[in-house]
Amino acid sequence: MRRRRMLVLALAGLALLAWSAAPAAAQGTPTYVGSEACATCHEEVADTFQNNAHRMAELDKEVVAEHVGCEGCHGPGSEHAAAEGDESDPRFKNIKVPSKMKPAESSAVCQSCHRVGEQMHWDQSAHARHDVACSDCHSIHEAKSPAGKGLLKQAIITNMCVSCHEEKKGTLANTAHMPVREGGMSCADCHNPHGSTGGAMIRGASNTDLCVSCHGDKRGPFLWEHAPVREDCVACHQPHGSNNDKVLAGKRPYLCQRCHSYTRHPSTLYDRPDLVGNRLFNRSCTNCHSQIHGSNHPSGKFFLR
Amino acid sequence: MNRKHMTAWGLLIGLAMLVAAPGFVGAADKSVADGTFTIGSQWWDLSQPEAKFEEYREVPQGTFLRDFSFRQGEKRHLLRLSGANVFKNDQSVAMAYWNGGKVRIDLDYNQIPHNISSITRTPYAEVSPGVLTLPDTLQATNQSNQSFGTTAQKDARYVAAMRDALLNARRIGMGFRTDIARARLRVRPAAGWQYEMKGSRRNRSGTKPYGAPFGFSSAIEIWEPISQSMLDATARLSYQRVKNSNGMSLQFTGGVSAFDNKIDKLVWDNPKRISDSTYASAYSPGDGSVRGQMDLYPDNRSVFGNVALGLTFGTKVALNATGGIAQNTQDDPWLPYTVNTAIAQVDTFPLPGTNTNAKVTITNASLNMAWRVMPDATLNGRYRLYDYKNKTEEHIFDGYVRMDQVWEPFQEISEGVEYKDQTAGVDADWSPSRKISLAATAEQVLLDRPDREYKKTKEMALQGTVHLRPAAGWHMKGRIRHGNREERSGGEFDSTGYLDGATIIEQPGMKKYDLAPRVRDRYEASIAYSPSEKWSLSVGGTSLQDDYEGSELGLLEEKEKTGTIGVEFQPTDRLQLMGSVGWVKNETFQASRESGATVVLSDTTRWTAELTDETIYWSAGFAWSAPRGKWGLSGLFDINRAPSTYDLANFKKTAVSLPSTEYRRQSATVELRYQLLSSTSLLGEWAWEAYDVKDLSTENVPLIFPLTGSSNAVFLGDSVLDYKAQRVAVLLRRTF
Repeated sequence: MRRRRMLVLALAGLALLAWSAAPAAAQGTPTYVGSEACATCHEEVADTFQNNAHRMAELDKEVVAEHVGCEGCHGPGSEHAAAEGDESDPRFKNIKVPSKMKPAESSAVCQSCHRVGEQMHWDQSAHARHDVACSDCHSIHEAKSPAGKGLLKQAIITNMCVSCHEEKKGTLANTAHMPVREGGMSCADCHNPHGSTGGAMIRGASNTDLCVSCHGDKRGPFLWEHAPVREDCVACHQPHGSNNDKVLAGKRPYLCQRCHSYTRHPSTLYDRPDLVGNRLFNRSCTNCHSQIHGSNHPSGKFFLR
Repeated sequence: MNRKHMTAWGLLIGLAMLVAAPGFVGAADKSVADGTFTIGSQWWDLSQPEAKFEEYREVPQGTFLRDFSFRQGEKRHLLRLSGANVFKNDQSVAMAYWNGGKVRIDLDYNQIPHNISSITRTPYAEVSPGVLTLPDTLQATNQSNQSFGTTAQKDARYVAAMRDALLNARRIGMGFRTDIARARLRVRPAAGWQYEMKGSRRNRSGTKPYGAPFGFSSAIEIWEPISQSMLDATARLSYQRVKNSNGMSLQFTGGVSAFDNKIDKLVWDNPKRISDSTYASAYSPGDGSVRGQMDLYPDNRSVFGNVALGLTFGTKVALNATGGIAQNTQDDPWLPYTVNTAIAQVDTFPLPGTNTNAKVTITNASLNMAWRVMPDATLNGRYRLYDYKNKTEEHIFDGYVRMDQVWEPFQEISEGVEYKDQTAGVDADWSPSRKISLAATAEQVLLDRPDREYKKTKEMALQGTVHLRPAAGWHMKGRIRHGNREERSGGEFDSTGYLDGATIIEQPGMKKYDLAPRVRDRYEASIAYSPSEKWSLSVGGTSLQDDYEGSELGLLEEKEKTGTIGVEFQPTDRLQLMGSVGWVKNETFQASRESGATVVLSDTTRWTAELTDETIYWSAGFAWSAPRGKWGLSGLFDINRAPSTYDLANFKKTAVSLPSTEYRRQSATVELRYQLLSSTSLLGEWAWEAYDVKDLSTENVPLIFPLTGSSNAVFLGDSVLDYKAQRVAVLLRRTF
């Protein structure tokens, strides 16, 4: 009974919220005039727009959106057009300029079409919450990326990301790194800058889910599991780059000894004299425990087989 | 299908679409086409054969097509083709095609090489996939030598025989390549509806170094033969609608992913044996079986589905909810306990089944509500659940065979790992004016791990952020975060854990850092100043500190500090200068307790390790163009230096710290551009790169290690080498 009452209250609250959020009636006077009218003044933009994927949307507006083309983003342009380029005419400013709008408002313009797929979780993304607008990364009229991919403002996605996330520049250049610097991967292969349900906007429900989407060999499930491997690859690896083999977060054997302090060899202090032993040299612990991500061998409990 | 076929197919499909699209070619009056390509020749020289130079790339030698892109649009059709390093090991080719707003097709193909070493040498021969053999004569000699004299004399004979054999070891390259082919079809059949199908095939083939021991002091390094493929297919149906500023989106996604390992086991010869035997002690020096057998990564599958709903009410409220389920399974047949025929117990104690029959169900859900309470204030509430439930039945083994050497009569029970992660948070953002914005976050993470030392933990984190824009061009940001992870009721610490026939036991006081109680503090500050479009300056820094106050052993403390400075200056329209400096310093402090067979709870056995790991990064560049843009010159220099130190200490004051290590990479590139014609440029490039390594464990890796003593490891000799490289290229870039 109490639970039902709570449910009714919650629904009522949501309904109230929806009602309070309902927009005021539209009162603007401008009307839609079509992209051709825009092209009469903005010839250069119109030219570059010919090879822009957004032009395609204009051809099938019945399935894309009610208003597409220039006015799909800039709003109805009759007033602006009527000013005939006269900036002193008050009507000249009666046009939406997303790059000059507040981030949330300009992103809402894009979201009027881009609400699903990659952009499904935009509203909950850290970028949206921290006032990053779509137009901060995307150049809608003309892209700088090869052949216009993603209509990005920079030719290389990673350069786009590190222009704000500068602290990642150094780690991406570390000796052990993923092929980001070489262009084999980009930040967007692991992170969805438009938001996701995972932490740090990763393209997976968990870090491990993301990693095994490429490293399927580590997905298991195995007969003998190594618990941190299953829970979070980032417990041992630094995906943005490190100074240790295999982008490990620390040098072996000390990384392993942060958890493995059993009697006998795991808790031995491997100091300089032990350089002659194979537990400090080369691959250290994984010289023997090579199946560290898990084993399916009946004799593989200690990841030796 | 090999890489050339894939590339050819991609190009053929692209060209076919170019020709087949109705009215596409030839309708020049309305068709708009543009593109660019860069072609030329390149020469380079490398001082030492270090694979790092081409770790994830192929640096072309001779004539090559560096890149191309092409776009053509006409009426309903738009085609985009692009590629880089075509026909090289790191090529990428992509095609996108639009038919109006209704249909979009994407095809792309990428190759990512991973060259690990080009100097490895081995006496092993791969006689069939996954089977590595040694000459019988070598095995026979070594076995016979084990009958002579003292342990030291046996070792000396072994080292001598192996050294002779290794003199003739052949050189093999070590590395693999991942080939990824992707296809995507997006269709918008009716207003608001979108259907998307994606598929990808990821093939990986090659080798990578792999440890394959025969005993406690007999590490053998061979290679993992890699021949794997991964097939993924996803279908998604979405619906979106916006009416009166209110929006709704609904999305169903389902898919499968299958991993297939074409080489499911690795069999390799033991250099010390020509006939099978068993060794009484668990601490065998490798005198047991003729060969070893290892299970390589098993085939596995994943099936998943999820649904996502998004609602927006004007610009005030956005609600998102998702729910998903996935099932991962694995039923690769088990290998026998061992291939050592001398271990009779294998017949006495049969395996408890034929495969793991592993099954995991992952449930995830999220709920997020963003509410714009005032025009300049938002409140965001979020909850996320990730439940990894292992439904694999436990398997009880009567014992196991340690490194194919000896039967260990200790019952082992397999246990599937499972855990549940619940994260709930509230974020408040308020911008009272354009000059200031404030944000606060409260977040709680609950973790349940029924099979681990801490069964239940919770972490509460509070974060505050302030953004200041005191004047035009200024942006300052400060952030503080404090988190506290602790055990929660019903999840008390239990470290009875691991007991292996009473020979190895857990040290009391050891708490694993991925679940131990932890206090985390993070500070972040940055200032950006951009008074005009001509120049900008940014300075930032972060500090992170993790304290594991309740831990006596294991990781006790970790600190990370970063600093960055970036500057861009454009004194004239024709000259641009940029530079950046970055610094990252990570310090860890850990402790352990040395012991033999039993734990000695005394400070006399305690040791500590204080490790520092730094990265210092510099980058400077310029771009200049002559009046009228006929000539252009640009350059970039960067250096990444990463020194690390390893300070070790123990109660007895006998510990000797390790030598410090350092990795350093420098590169410089200068490009001269001359515009021959309005659409054609001539480029000259010179690049220099230097890589210096000082690392005790990866430099000078011998084939047999050490040359004397009882620890006889056979390695691949894949030392990391210093190198210097120079590259010169002459290229023609044409746009059309």
